[in-house]
Amino acid sequence: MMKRNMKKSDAALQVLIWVLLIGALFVFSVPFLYMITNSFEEFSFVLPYPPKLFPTKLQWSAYEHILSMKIFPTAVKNSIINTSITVVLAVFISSLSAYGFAKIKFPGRELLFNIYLFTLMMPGFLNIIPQFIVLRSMKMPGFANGLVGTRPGLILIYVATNVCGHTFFLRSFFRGLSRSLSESVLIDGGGHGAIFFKIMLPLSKPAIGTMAIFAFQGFWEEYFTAKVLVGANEKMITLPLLLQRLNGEHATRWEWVFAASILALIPVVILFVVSQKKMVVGGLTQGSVKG
Amino acid sequence: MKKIRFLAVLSALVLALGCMWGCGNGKGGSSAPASNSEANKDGEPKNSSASEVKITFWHTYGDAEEKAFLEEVLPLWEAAHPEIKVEAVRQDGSQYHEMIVTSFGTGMSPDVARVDITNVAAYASIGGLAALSDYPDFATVSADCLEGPLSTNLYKGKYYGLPLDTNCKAAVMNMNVMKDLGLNEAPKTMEEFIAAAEKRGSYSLNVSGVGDWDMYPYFWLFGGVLTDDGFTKATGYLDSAASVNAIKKMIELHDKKVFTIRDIDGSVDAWDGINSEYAMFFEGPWYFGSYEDTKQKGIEAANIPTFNGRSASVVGGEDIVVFSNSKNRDAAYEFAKFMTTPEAQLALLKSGQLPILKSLTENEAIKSNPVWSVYMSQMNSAMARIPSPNNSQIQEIWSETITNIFLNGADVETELHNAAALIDAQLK
Amino acid sequence: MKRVNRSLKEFGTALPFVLPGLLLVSVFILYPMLFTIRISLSDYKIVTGDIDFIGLLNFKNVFASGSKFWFALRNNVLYAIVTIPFIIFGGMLFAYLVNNLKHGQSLFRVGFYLPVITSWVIVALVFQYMFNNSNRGLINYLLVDVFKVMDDYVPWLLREWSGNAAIWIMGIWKNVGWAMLIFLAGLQGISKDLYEAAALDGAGIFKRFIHITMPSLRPVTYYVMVNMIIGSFNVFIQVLMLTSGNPNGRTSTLQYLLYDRAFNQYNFGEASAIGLISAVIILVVTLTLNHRMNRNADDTEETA
Repeated sequence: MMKRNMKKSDAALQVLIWVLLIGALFVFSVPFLYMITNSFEEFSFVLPYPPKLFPTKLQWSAYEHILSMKIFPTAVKNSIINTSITVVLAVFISSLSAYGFAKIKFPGRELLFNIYLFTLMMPGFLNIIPQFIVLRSMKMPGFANGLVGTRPGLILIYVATNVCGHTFFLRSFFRGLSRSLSESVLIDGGGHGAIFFKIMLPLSKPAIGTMAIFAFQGFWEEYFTAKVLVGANEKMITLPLLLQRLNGEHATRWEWVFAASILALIPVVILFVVSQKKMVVGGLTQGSVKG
Repeated sequence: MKKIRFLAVLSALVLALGCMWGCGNGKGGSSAPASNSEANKDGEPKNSSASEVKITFWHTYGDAEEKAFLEEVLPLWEAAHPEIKVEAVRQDGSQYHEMIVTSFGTGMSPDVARVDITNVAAYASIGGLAALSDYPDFATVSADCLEGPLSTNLYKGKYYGLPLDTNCKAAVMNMNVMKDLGLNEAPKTMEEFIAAAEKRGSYSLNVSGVGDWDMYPYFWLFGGVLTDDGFTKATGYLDSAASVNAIKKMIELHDKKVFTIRDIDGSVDAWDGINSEYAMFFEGPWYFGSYEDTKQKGIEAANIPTFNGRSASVVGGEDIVVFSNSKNRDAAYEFAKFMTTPEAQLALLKSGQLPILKSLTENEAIKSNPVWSVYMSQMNSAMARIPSPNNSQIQEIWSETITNIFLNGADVETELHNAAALIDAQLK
Repeated sequence: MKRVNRSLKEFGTALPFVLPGLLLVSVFILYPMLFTIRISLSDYKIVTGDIDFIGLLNFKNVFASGSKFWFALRNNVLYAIVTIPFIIFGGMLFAYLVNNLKHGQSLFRVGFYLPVITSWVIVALVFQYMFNNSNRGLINYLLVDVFKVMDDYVPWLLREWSGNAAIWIMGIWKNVGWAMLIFLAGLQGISKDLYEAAALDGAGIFKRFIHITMPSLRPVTYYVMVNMIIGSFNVFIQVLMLTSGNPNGRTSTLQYLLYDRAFNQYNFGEASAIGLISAVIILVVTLTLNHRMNRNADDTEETA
């Protein structure tokens, strides 16, 4: 009897939670609904009246326009290449750093880490001029302007600007991982390299994966740096740059902007849907944030 | 232990500093100042036919303008100057100004660019542009340019660019709404329009915001004055009785529900409302470029109706400038000159870029176009905004003043008086 | 001497791990940062690259620039005070509810996370339209025409408080999903025994939330909070795209002010000074918070 009651109230509870969450989710979806609906409209530079939340027609002309732009495939290609290389590099280098900060005691560690933290607090876009100058001074054969306007240059800056943040995130995670495992490796004569590659990396797949998703999304939408560094090079155009180009000099066809926005959003959504189940399972709680 | 920790941090800092040193050298060695001297070295004596030069041209043309440029203007250039290759880079309008400012700092400016007329004085004042009037033939080249657009390139007695295209605001009228107001044709005078619109009880005239581009035409139309003719002083002009009356006239129309400021009242945007509720708003020629069917909707271009017998408008448009960082300054100047030739101007006109040459104002292509002809004739009463390197500060003072008056009901005399004093400081 | 040797050895062990990151950070972050600090004390001529030391004049000018700076600072602080509780409590609640679901967890994880993965620029565009003035904006249309809660259309983005409110709402909407995800991760670390014990004591789902979940999530909360505080002082795109600081700078923020100083007034010295001021404020807030959070958290220092 008792058990049945429990089950009943359990089921009621599940329904209640569902209702609560669905309600909240609906409110959260309003901007997306609005965006999708308006991508099917024909704006002719003014907003439709009355405002619509749900699409009344499926008119794909805005999407067709975007997909038929000559420069669209280039932008997609560049965005994918830039983002994937950046994510791999940034996450790998940051994991190494994070391991160093979390598991190896070395003089000046705390101070250096605090400097990393402080850089997170400085507004980033003041850095652009010095960064640009550094890149330009990296002159190599074949790169007359240094790395300015090139893919390697852009990727270097992207990776660098994210090392501090990722190190902060992953260090918390590494610190939470049990010590005994790594000690056994040390006793077996393995060094930190062995611990890192054989134990830490496999154990932290979820955390690193999570980090990678965060990173992916950040680079995918990055506009300002790309604009300044490669903006003068049409072949290097990325999706966010393309999106801005849709803003006319005096007036904008908003359905194009919304359609392009949705197209740009699709890869990130797919990536997230596929990976979300595997994302951070535990670990963050313990000792997570001793800044 | 403490010491060693210090050592570690020190080494990190040394690393950073080392780089600072290295890059500092990089900056000192190869960037702005250096490229200036380089430009002088191999720029001055060279004859442009020596070897092929490549220059970069930044612009913010839209699709139609870019097409006209690439398909008509550029081939003309290539035929005339095979030795100078122009690489045209299309930038998006947003962040364009930021791109240019950043390029000043990094020394990676283009050689030549199309920039908004209101930014030329500021770019010149921080040393970013080459003074084109230093070239001996500048006087001849600029002789055929319209006075207003040309004057936007003036900074401290020198010209830092050539006008490239021009525009101004003219009246966009919905003739159907006009009919409802009892006006069967485009009103010639503001008095006539106001008398008709007063009876309606809902807004007939819309302006988007409180900024200079939006508000100056009204301010000037109703008799306001910003500064003396030499743009040296606002006190005695901006706070004169005429200016106070101009603002009071706007307040009166606002109170009578003839005139609405979108950003103050939260009213419907002009591009939207002109289709149904507004009788008129002032806009640049791009309004008509954006729609093919304005005529069917009863929307027409007309001169801004006169008030006290005078029309008024504000000059807009772009100039073409050469950057002081350019290594091929002469070639860049050559290109700038080419862009102001009648052939290039006429080719760009096809995409709606109004020409800046006196010799083209009576051109058949303009006269036969119902929109362009209106804008070209409106140019006669269009005035330039204050050409000052502190343009953005002046804009801000103006907007805040108007906001205070219309939103917070501040006293007109006091506000204009304060604004005049603040603008004086910016004009020094 | 032994000590020195040991430290050098430690250093050698750490180097392969830390060096790649440190190199990049030194070259592309620390050097630019030192440059910024230098600029903040100088008169920087952007075209010629001349840097003349002028001491603290830039800072003095920033503080003396009238109400602009103080309104911006006020708005950053208000943004933090208003949005962070919503983000933290909302994120925690959603995480807890989702975690207690038997079916359909994925739907809500993805659904609430969508705002996070949408670019700020796009989000700002959509919000700009939703909060549009007159009846063209969705919010006005719903409030006045559909639900008839209000009589008049509100020019949301054109007034001091409604403009700030729009900026806050956008901040909350964009960040709750992120907090939820982090809290979901944190929830996996809470031992099941705690809940079972509480359930036996007859504690309901919400009691358990308050007495077990919230305290256990403390360290994660701190992590979220630090991130959100940093975020609060970096509010920029919302201001640029929604209100442009109007009316008269009443909805401006430090970053927006910085941007304006740098790109509209070419005053990189004052812009850098503003950047530094905001960094120091964040630092102080974070340290205070850290101090308070760590006072009762036990120290789990590790060595390898």
